[in-house]
Amino acid sequence: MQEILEEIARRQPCYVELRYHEHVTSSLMAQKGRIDQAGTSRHQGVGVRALVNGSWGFSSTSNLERGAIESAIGRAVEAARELARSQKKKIPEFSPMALSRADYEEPGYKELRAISIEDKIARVVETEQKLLKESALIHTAVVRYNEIFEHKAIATSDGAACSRRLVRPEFRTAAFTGSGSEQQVAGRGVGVTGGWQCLFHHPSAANMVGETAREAVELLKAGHPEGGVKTVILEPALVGLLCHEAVGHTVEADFVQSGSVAKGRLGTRVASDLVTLCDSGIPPYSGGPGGYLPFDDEGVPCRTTTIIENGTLKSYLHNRESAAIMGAEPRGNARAWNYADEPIIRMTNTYMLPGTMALEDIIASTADGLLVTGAGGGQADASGEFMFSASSAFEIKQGKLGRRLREVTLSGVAFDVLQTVDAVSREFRWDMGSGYCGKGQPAKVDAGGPYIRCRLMVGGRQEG
Amino acid sequence: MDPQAKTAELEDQCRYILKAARAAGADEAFVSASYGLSARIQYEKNDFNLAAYHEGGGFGITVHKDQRQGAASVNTFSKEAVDEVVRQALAFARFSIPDEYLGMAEKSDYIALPETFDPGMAELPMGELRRLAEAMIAAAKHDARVSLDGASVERSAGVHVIANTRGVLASDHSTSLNWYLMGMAIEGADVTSFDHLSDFAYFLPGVESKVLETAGNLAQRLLACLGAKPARSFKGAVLLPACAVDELLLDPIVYHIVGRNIMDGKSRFSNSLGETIASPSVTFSDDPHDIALRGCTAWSGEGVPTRGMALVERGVLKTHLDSVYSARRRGTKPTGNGGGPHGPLLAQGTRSLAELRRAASPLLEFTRYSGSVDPITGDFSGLAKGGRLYVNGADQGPVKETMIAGNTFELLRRDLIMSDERFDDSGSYRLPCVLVDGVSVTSAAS
Repeated sequence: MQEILEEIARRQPCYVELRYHEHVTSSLMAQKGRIDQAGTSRHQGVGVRALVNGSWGFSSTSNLERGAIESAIGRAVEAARELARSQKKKIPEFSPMALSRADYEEPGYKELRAISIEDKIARVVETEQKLLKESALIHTAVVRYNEIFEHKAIATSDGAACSRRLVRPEFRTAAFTGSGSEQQVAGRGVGVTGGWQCLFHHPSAANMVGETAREAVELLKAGHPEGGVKTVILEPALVGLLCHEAVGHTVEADFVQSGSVAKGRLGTRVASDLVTLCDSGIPPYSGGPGGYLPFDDEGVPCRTTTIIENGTLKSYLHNRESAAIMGAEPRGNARAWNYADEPIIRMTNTYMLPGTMALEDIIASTADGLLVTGAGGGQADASGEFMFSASSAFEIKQGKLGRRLREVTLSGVAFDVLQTVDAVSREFRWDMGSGYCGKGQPAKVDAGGPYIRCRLMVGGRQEG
Repeated sequence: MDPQAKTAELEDQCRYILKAARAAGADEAFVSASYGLSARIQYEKNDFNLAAYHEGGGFGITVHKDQRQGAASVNTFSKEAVDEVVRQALAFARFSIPDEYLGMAEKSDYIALPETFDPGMAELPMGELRRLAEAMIAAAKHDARVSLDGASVERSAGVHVIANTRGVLASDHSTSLNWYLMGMAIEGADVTSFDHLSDFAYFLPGVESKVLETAGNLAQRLLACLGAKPARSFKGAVLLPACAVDELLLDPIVYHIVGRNIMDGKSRFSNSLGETIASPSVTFSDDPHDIALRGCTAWSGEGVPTRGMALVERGVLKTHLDSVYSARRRGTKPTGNGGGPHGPLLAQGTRSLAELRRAASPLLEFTRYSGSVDPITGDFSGLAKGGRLYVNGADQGPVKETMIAGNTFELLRRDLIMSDERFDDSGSYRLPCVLVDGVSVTSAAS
């Protein structure tokens, strides 16, 4: 397929990008001693993007024959010509650059293919039974396994010719406790780019069953936080969420061009000196991060982007288009979820660099605050205002951890909150690999970092 | 696209796939096949940035073998793909756990819904889409302070067929124009939160005025947020927009009346049929045959006929919702909405929004909820976007960085006051705004 795409792309009179994409997802779910989900889904096809007279056209086909691909190019070119009638600012020509011409098969791809459906189902069922036995207060245990096998081959008319095969497995546990109107649920998740060994040796997989059960039981007696602006210590998953949702999206160049809060702030202070924040498809920290990527869907080799360096905003995240417009260098942030989707600017693995303090010392030096754990959902908007939910928090009084609280939501304005960071731990962990980023299309990403201490708004109860 | 011819073609494909499944050893099989085509004009970064065509189809199959279930799907109809997908589904079933309650829908008759296929829409040229998109953008950006992060206009046409080995065979086809805008208002250093609106129409006639109305409404909402200040913290009255009524009040009810959650011991309403679970002002129903709503359908995803039904009537729980599986487990009958209502409706009240704003003080009104709600406990907490504060009925202006928190089931028991007008945001439901009391409002200013 790769040779055909390369040969077709080379003959085009305008910039054309051809992407063969095979996406195979398998999902298993066990609960109450039964299998509620056991299946697989396979999508494959070729996505075509054409840049004609400074305008983009896109088309796709599930037919892999040469004629069908050439017809799809014709439709993409026609679409681009139509768009050019309305588009005011034409996209400048891309600067020549070294595009990927390598073929990658990432670790774990063959390993996971070799593991039978029987063994995967057995792991899910055994874990469900084990979780159920952790406490008599657990009435339902739910265990999910999901894997995405991805094969992409990219060819562009200006020289990219590359392919990659990788797999991203995920494993999740959840326990339901209590009964009737007094019920609680707690969950854990881990996701990597890699095989079975990589998945189950991830730090977040350690004692997943025990931690899920313990939290589900303790939440039954947990109180609610009081609302207000507070000192909080965020665990790595929440730091990852902060990096991704509250900072990462505002520095995606398409959002910047629309007027996000990061627009015009390169070179200015947006965080405390302790904060250095990066995005990278090939990050320096090991553990098979869930957004690992050797090159993106424009054929650009992935490199590390330092977004914030010691508190100063240094760079945005680009695709080739935004890089050409803003005079920057693309570093591999263009991706599409499926063959029928066009590549857009996405984060890969977004993280804060660790500091020098031990977590124990950060807690010990906190007079009044919360240690917040377990990232739930998160949303942020162009102003940098964000909202995250966390599964629970622990009160800190005079440097000592206290009672557990539930239903914790955090909010703030990213660059304001980052200015308040006054402690950064030396521990580092990827912890968002089981999650997906939504931006019109889903994307597998990861995020993480150290523990940090900052001040932000905690949603909670007010006195009546 | 000829919808009748395409339907006939997909029906033939479904019969072939079911036959292949039986031949490969499946005891029972269900297949869902679809085909669609679309064209889209997209606007980003305050300019047009993409025109795209898509055409595709595929099918998914669920098989039962020795009371074990497996599933597989693919985006092609080739003979090789059918054989492979059937083999994969059976492979998953082979290692699954036997479950005596697995079953499939029985053959049924379905009511004929009004036609929602407009040949003119199906063939709408890209140039005409572009013209519509231009008009939409111009309407949204008539005030230079409006910045659009994204917008799109997309026409699509599709056919969907389901069939199973018990004789179920159902199909539908429709066209639609979907439009969407997301943006913020910017005035100097003042950047509002983003907001978005979308809507759809099946038919071309009259569509342009609907598109322009959506664009104008978004611009109005964004501009109203300029100059926002942090509010103050209090526990009291909040006027929920329809989208928050759906997310904070109705979704948790649905969670607890779905048969699957009842059979798994996750429901607080498992023994509450005929009991009061909410304020008498709450009458919540499902109308799956209202074609103005996106969920409109004559049959459920399993092939069970749908019907209108009251879920909660004057605060009293009237029914549980069962799929084929949960009905077999619970000894009931499938209701055709086992996953939740297709067309959620909440009865309106008699008081105008203006009256509701004067009904309590202080009162927070907002347009969008960005937060979480735990359907199990009913606890919710999140940001109230596009907020305005009212004191003694007087508008104190827009507010920002304001969070709300509370518990759905506590709120439902309180005196809820519905507006006299209902809203159908993007055709998802028909719901009034609801005035609730007892909500914790936390401001960054506190």
